[in-house]
Amino acid sequence: MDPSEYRKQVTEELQRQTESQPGYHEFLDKSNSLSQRQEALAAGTKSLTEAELDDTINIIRDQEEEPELRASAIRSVGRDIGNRDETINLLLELLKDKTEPREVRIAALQVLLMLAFISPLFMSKRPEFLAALRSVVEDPDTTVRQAAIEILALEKDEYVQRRLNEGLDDPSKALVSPEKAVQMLGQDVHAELYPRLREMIQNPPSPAAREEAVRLLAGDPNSKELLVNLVRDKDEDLKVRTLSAAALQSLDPVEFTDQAKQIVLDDTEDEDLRLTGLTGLTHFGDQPSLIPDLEFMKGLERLRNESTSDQLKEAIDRYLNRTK
Amino acid sequence: MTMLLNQMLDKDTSEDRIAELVDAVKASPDQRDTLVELLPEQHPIYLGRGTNQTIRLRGYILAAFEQVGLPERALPYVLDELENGREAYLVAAAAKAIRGLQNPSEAVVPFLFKAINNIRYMDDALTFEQYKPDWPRTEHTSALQEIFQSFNWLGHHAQSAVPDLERLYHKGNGFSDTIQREIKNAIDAIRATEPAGTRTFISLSLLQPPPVGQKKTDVVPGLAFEDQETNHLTSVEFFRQKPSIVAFFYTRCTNPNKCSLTITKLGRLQHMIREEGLNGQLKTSAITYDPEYDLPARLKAYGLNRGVVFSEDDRFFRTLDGLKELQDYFGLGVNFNGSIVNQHRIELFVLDSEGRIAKTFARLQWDAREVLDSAKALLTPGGQ
Repeated sequence: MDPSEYRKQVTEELQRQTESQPGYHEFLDKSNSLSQRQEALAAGTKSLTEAELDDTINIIRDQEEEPELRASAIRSVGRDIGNRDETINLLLELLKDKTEPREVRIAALQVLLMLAFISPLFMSKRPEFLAALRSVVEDPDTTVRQAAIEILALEKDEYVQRRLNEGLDDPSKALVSPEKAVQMLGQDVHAELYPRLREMIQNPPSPAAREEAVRLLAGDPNSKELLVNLVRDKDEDLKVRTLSAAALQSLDPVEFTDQAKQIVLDDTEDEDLRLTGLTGLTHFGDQPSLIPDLEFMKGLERLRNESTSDQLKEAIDRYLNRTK
Repeated sequence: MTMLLNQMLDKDTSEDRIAELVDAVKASPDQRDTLVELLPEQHPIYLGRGTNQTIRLRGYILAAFEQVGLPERALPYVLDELENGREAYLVAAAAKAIRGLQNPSEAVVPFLFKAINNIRYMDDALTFEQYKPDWPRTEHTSALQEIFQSFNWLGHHAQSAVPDLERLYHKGNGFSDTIQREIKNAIDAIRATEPAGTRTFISLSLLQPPPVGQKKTDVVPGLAFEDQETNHLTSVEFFRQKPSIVAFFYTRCTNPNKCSLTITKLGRLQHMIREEGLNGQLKTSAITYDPEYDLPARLKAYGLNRGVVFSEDDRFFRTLDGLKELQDYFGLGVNFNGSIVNQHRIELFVLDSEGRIAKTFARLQWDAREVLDSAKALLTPGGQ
């Protein structure tokens, strides 16, 4: 087909599609049902005119309108308002306003997060955005509160780190559960966290917090000995031992290699832990784990002959193949 | 007040106590040297604190210089934050401190522009009204606001900045209305003030660290090193027979203007050494502040990813012991929370063929040509 004819056909088809869509005016028309208005909003494919954008912003502002419609409107015009100072301010106000419905506030937050990627102006509004997030860390709405705290934690925000630490010291001031607080503080390797994590291994506020603490100790060379002790302790919870082994592997591959080899060859050890150790030595090991070790290999041959576990035998074969 | 000033400050002094001292000095500006003493990164007040703690302490101290006046000795720390800082609180504090200079100087203009570039996508809402402020707050400032207010304060001394400020003010440059207003105010203030009869300068000597003096005759202490290939040797074995260039860094550094850039520039410096046919005559190396975490594989990957070429004479090291002795010998501007670095400055040294410090480049960005010329000078007879 002639390219110009093809272009003409495509243009006509697009025109037909646009004409058959419910018009933007149907979204603005308050006499239509919610579903009709949302459908009209969703069907819009072209960029809005300035007047249409202003009408939509009026709907977003209008507390008499259905929250779902306002939330949909926020999402639909998100890209178009990223270069307007006053509309970013509007979204910030909606996020902060505790009297606004959750749907509206969450939609505002989602669009603000999107603008962080696409709007150069938004980057200049970053201080206001961070201030808005800090203003809702005690919000009665759990969804808004948690979302704000998580974003601030990812930003390594001084204020939220301070509040999370306060909550760990005094549970009556906690913004989130202890395990969540530890996880969020763990976003920042430079936070004042590791002594607290080591203490938490001994006196955990919850089992989940203890597991989270072990995971994060992978970044703390001062915790090497503690991790070795946890890995070796057969009375310790299996998940904690496994997490400790993984943390040790990141922290000190040589020490991990030593500990993992002992576990793999120990017939009194849990099979899952032996498998984890062997997999670590095979796939994630630093060079030391793959240096041929005659004694270890002899032990593996014995284990392959004696073990009834097919999984363990396969893991042994994989390891031996890697060391060839 | 006197009791506060006489108090020995160390790692056990609470943050609130240190903030009280800063507030007390604000009320007695003649005591401002007390604050200067707290600025070196290795000061014990920073030991054992998280990075955010050190940032808020340091920022609170720096910001106080706006009120008590900025002594010359504190200027390198302020310019360092403007040139290299990526933390909004510290950059804002440094911008405020500039306004404590006795005489406004156009020499700070390039530093303020560098700070704009560093912080414009990382700015934050902040306040110096209170130590460890609570939120929400009705009033707050930001690093960009403080930077443009410093341009405003410079007045006609910032004449040279007007064309660039006008470019920033141009619509569509991505600044919010608040920042646009600050830029406009700065331009208006610069234009409104009459040029003075004399121009004030900042002595370049102030931008360099004090000479290492007594260390110069000492040779580098004998410490056990491991290099990026897991070879073990002593510092004395490496730093002898040829002049050496040694930089300090750590792989977990989050400031791209510091460790990452230092190592990238070290790679470029190596290239210049090869281009000038000096390979085999000079050694280059980098030593990590974080030896327990920066295992050989991490050191190697960090260098290779930044264009470093390793050889017998070009290596990265971690200390197997004696990090403290190394800190003392080089006077390293670094501090720790456990084994994690909580703050550090940029630092590079040129050593002679006996392992003595011949030249120190610290705090501000070093120039590869200047470093190479310093090392080359050691190759000529009498250069040591």
